[in-house]
Amino acid sequence: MKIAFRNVFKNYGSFSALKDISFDINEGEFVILVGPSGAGKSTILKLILQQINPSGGNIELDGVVVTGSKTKNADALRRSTGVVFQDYQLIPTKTLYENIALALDINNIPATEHDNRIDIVLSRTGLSNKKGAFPSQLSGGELQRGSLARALSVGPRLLLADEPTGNLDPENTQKLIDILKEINKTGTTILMTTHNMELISSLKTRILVLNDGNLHEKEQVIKSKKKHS
Amino acid sequence: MTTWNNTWHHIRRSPYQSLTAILVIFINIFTISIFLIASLGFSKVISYYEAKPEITIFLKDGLDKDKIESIQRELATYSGVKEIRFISKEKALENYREQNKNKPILLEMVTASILPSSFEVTAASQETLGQISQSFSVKKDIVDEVIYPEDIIRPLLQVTDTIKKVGLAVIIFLTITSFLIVSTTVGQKIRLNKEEIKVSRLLGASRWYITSPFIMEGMFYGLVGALVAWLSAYGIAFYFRDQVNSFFDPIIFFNYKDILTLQTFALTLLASMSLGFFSANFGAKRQIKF
Repeated sequence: MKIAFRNVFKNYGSFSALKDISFDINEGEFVILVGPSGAGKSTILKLILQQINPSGGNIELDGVVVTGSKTKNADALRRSTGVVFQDYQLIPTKTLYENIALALDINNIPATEHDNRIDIVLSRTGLSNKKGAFPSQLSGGELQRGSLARALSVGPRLLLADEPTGNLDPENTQKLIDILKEINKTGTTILMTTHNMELISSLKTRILVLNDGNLHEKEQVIKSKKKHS
Repeated sequence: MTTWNNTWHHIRRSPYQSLTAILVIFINIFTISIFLIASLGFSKVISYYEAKPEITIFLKDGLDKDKIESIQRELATYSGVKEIRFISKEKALENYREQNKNKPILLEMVTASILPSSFEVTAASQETLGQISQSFSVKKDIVDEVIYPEDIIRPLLQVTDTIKKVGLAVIIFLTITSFLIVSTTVGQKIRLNKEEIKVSRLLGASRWYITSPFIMEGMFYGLVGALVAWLSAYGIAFYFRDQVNSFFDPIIFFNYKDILTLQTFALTLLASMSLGFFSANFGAKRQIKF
């Protein structure tokens, strides 16, 4: 899925979270959105998912302006998009299996296919033995991979990952990144937010830097890093 | 199937709230059914008397043959009179015995001497009967009592009218109460599932996907409440049909073949499930903003 932001502004009252942001993400790209807390990273993901509307400018998905589109279209977009939430967003009263089945059900995937699909994504994320576990019985890393498994189960064209490594140790971080790279190889567009600078330097992907609501490309980060050093 | 699974999960999660909602719908539908059965019965009683353009003039004891014949002649002078039947004391006893042949205790003490002789007059119109009633009611020396159907119909109409008005008020009150209780129950269930709804929205669940289990829940309350109420109300009416019918004899106040039909059953369920649907929809709309 192609994403394009055209002169997007987002204000929360008098606070400007995004100031005249423009960028393009091509189909099948792996892009990292980096910046300190409060820089506006999550705002960009929310705008793509149409959880919020921009204060100005347009957002295009596959060349179609989605700004201010109907709830029905927003629902359809969310169904075709996998999202890995920073706080996992797994339903505590459902098992991991049931959480993933919910996403499949929302996508109208027949119940007869659920077992097979769930087995595949759980195996891919290394959670095959946690199928019947409730979120309260999983560690931080497992929860994050569980959230990823749910996102992958629907076969998304776009994967949004909001600080997926935020609560993970280096070993689990690497595991998650490896899975994301593997998914990207199958053609899924990935937009991941993070503030982990070590992680970015280890990834050979395009990087967008957000700071105080302004967007810069990776080169500027490198320059600023050099200045600091 | 998944929608129903979700609905069943919500019901099981807070069974007492569900039970309250079902009970209130049960009371509502039960009351409506009882009022309907009573109204239908009374309308039969009214129809019976309305369809009977007849007046009965009970005579005083001791009138001789000439006097009786002169009364008969006078009755014949009214235009529109179709038939005049003289019921002697002996004939009255015969009729009484026929009517009460299955109740020997009522036959024991009755003799022809205690029953009055009477004239039964059939006319083409209620107007003629009204004139006869007015004229003969004042002849206290020869007439004991005049039974004119309108005298029965008028209070019956008043009773039926009162039943309908009170019934309507009670039904409106109970329907509003049911509506509020079901919508509040569904609203509470939605609040209990807020987390799940929030996540479902993020995953792209449509409005229908999210609200349908709750709307089905409301309809389920309507279905169960109506089913139990229908069985109870009509069961009670069926059980007491002989006592009630013998009280209104010869009118069949409760004819189960008229009432215990697939149509009344289907209509009751439909009305109740509609109530469940609208109240649950209202509750869902108040809680979930899209």
